[in-house]
Amino acid sequence: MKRSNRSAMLAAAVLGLTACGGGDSGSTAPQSTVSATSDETTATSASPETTPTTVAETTTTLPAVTSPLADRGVAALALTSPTTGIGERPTFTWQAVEGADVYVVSITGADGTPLWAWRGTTTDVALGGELIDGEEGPRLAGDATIDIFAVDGTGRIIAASGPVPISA
Amino acid sequence: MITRRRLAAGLTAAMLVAAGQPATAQQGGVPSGTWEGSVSVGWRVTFDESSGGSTFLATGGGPLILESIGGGVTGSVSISTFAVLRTRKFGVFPGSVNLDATLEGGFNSVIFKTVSGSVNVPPAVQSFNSSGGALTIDTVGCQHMSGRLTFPLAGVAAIDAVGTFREIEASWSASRTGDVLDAEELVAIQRLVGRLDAVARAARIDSVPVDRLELSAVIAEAERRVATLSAGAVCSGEWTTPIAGAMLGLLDAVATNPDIPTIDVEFVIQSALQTGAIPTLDGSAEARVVAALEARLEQAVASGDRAALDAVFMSAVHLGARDLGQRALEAMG
Repeated sequence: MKRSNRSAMLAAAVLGLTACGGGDSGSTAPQSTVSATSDETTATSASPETTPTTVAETTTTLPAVTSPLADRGVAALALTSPTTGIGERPTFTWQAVEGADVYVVSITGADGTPLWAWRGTTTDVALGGELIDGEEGPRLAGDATIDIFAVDGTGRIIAASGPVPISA
Repeated sequence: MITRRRLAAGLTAAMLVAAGQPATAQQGGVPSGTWEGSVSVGWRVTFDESSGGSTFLATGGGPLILESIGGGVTGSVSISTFAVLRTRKFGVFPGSVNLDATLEGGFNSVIFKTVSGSVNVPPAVQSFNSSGGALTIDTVGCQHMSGRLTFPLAGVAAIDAVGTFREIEASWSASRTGDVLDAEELVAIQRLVGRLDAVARAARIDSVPVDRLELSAVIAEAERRVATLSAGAVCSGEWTTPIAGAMLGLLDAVATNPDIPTIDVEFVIQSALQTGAIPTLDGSAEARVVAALEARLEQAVASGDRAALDAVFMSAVHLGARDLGQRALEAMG
């Protein structure tokens, strides 16, 4: 397996592990626009004590990702946590999948370098898992992709997120 | 990206901090100090015979001590197999290999300076004195590092009734001791490594599927120990765990044993990523796993085993092995 210089990842385009899907299968689809509800209230993350403000007619552009497994009988699995500006030790959350025995998470650098992986039964995990409480462990420092798989008791993938671009 | 230490040959010496200084903010090399650990199971004694090469699946290990100062490494290692070697061809085979070696070199190349030992395959025992062999550093953090070692036995030991031993291969883990890691913690780490070795031994020699509960428990404990290190004992952004070396041995054991289910191989690849055993500095361990997965993909296609195909696909995602992943996808139809 070819290894690439991780320091170059900051400058690299987000390619995604879709590359497992190669050319046209499983690639990141064109960006889609998701409209936020007009009366949704939010607070800025930089100032937790800020009075919530009403967001009017706000639109958020999210990458629409299709798993390369989508046309092979595997359901879609949605990452529900933010994907950009998430810091160096983000927590990822995703939707529960009925019939899932375990979830497998894989994080890969933008250049395809393997970085960190996890498996467990919860629908959330912080980058580094238990290492999150310490100083030593993986940290997100640029662009990467996350793949989440829901796997049943026989080892079959029953749902997959596809490679979702993320960035610190 | 997620930062991990990458050793850069030529930069190592200049980037080292002086012995005794906190191991923070280092960008290359290995922190100075004393590193103590062990050689782990997951090693082979490869051996030539008249009908072709054979591989003894040996178990055992021994202590490893490394001193790193100013870009140089010295140390020693002792390896003792248990009293039984096994090979799929011959079954249980009474014998053992023992050696004591001194180590010397830099971080990108640590060699066995002197070696003395013996090969014992009843009824013969042959002692040897030699040099050669190398220790590679595959992963390194401020607190832990790990890798593999090889020692060529060709021309060193020959048992007429059996043949000529060719090579010993092992994995190792070491942790920085002294004011950073006390003896009690080191013992606890060695117990963890021993538990992981047992999982690897069962997979490699007895072809027992991976004990997932035990592996998960070891990983959780290893993470907890890394997480509770004092802040001054670690280098921000550079990490691995104390069980990385044993994890490399386990990874090799399950990937190269065709009797171990592919879903277990994926489990261990994921575990190796979780514990900082991979990516390795030179990628050779991953390359060997990918090669093994290629063969497993063919088998999965031939048998129509969709779970195995899914495992190969997830493994490819973990490893960033795009060609392999693509072929697994195509095989799914």
